[in-house]
Amino acid sequence: MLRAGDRRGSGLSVAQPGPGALRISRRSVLAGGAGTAALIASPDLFSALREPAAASAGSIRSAFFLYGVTGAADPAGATVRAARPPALRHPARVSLRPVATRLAGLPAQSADRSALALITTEERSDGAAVTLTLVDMLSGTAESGGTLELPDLPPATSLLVTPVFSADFATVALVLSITVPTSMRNVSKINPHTGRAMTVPTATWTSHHALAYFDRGTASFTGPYHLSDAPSLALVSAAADARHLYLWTVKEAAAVRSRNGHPWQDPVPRFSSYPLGSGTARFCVPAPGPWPTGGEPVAMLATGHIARLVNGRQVLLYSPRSGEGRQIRLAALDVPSTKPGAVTLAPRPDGTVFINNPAIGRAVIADPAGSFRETAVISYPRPAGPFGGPCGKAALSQDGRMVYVLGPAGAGGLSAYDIRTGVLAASYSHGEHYTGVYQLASSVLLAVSPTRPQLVFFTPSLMPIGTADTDVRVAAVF
Amino acid sequence: MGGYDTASRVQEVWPAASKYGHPQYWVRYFAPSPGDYLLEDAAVSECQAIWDSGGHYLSPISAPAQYNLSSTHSATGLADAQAFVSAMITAYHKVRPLLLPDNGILCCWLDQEYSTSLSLHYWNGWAGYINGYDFGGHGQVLHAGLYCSPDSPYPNCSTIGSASAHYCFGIWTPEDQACGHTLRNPPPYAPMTCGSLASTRVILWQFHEDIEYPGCHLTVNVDCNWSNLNFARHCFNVSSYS
Repeated sequence: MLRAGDRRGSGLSVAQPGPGALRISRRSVLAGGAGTAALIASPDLFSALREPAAASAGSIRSAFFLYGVTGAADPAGATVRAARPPALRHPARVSLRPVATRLAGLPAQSADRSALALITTEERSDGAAVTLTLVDMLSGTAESGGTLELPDLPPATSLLVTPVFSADFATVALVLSITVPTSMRNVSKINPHTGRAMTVPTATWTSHHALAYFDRGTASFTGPYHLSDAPSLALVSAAADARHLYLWTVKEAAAVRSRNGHPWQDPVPRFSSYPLGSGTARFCVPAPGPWPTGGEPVAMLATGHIARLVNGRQVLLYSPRSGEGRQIRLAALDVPSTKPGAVTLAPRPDGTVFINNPAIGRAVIADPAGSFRETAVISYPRPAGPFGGPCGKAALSQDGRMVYVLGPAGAGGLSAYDIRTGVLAASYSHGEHYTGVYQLASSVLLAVSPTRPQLVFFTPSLMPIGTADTDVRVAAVF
Repeated sequence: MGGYDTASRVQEVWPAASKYGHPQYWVRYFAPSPGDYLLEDAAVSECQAIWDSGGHYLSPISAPAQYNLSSTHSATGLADAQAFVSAMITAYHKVRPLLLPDNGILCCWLDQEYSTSLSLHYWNGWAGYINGYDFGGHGQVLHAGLYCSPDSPYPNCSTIGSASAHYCFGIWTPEDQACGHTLRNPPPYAPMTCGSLASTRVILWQFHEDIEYPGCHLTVNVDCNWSNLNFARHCFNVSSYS
């Protein structure tokens, strides 16, 4: 079933409600019962901020967005808030404003940092609904969106949504992981500490996937197209170019073979490609290697290939035509570590990629056109928190000359390394152990602190220029 | 001593790590842990290495992308737990000598790092799946455990301490480096506890050394368990290798 929202050419017009349309009204808060989407993004949310944005097209004062929760059981759920960063020369007070609450998961950002896709889901008596809202990151306003109806889902169905921007940003593909419980019942289990029986709920959960596509031009959905891949794991990895969606899935192990049956065979991930707008695979081939986990870095490369960074050390490189893959070991990252790291892989405008693994204190620039030859390797002391939220543990300057990382485990703060020489160029610390670092569009650096104030802003030369606070515990910054 | 944990392969760090002592058990990462070498990808050779180390027990941990733990939809926790269980089943079927604990209590860890906020919805999705899963027809032998930092300002112990939180078997905490102690000589058992935030007991604690020199990499952490608990009894048993 298709339900579409309307398109807002200027970003200022009021929605024209249609059946099932996304209604983003001025200052609307769609509060409701459990599971109800609550989108606060409204055309005038950033009215006070729009003037300077409009005054400088392609503004360096593009808003930044925080994603997180305010508490363990916050009724507002996962939240996005936004603000404009302080200017380098004239730092001003940073004021965070709510954009959306009750999000179903991590937002997705377009590769050009122009749009953010927010997902909310709603359980209904006759199924479920998925609402996509696209927020213009320059103005901070809701640009368009729509609601996808999923009728006939059984009660208690678990729904996970992975949004993926196409390379030309014209389409947002939604990969729906639909997990249906059967044989729901309570069983008795002994609490080993107390020796008493306790009741735990149990069920057989079976997952399959479905695809849907949101066309930004028409503000309409096609799909959902249900795939015949049950029982699979709900987790997927996905990427898209301008024409195709690429999807990695894997069968659930329990369904592959019983222990007393035939010889055990590992579940092997499947790599599929779907034309955007279609639920029919162009190819679907085995893709040996680590399972898709959703959290692994996946990127479209300038060569046209698709890269998955796995184990924090290796790149799996796939052909967009045939799905054929090969494994490339990155020598500089092939180092044992005690703890996991928040590994990242980001394509750069010149075709190279920036890879960071804070668990071993190593950042690399590699050239996919040259079999991932490492053109720069930066070694830095391991930070105190290489894996905890937020996920940004290093930032490459916009001119590609400097890499900013979290300071050493002992000293904390921030450090800047010269990419060309690998030498420490600047550092700042007053003993605070930051947990994340991001470079915003204005070149201002944002460090996330575990203590208040949570947000600390720096110049590219690591001079502190201001702070801001929020009650949101930051899990990601866009 | 207790055991070791590592994000690398045991076969990669052993026997070099034997200079710290011989472990009773190894804690190893399973899917979905995007930054680690996963046990199930090389289960046979890993269990062989565990056997060779003299530590014949394997404790499973999963380290999902940490932003997932902040999701306020239980579907995210359920999906991560589903992958974790599937990875454990893969290793269990692949490694013939790998046995479930005799006592029917296999502790399965969720990695929540210091600066990660754990939502109640995520925990209930994750722990609900783990605690309720019938593992290979052996019943509900999986018991959810949480690796967390009680002194963190982020929601952690308070989450599992909620009256509506699913059951947690135990907590595993990291300890700051103590002066004069090394991996060969870890400080005495004195973990940070959750205090009034949760009634769940700290059963395991982790000691690591902070090394700040670029290019100098430790490969294991040492883990000690509560003296009243033989933690190896809550691990997979790598029963034999020829």
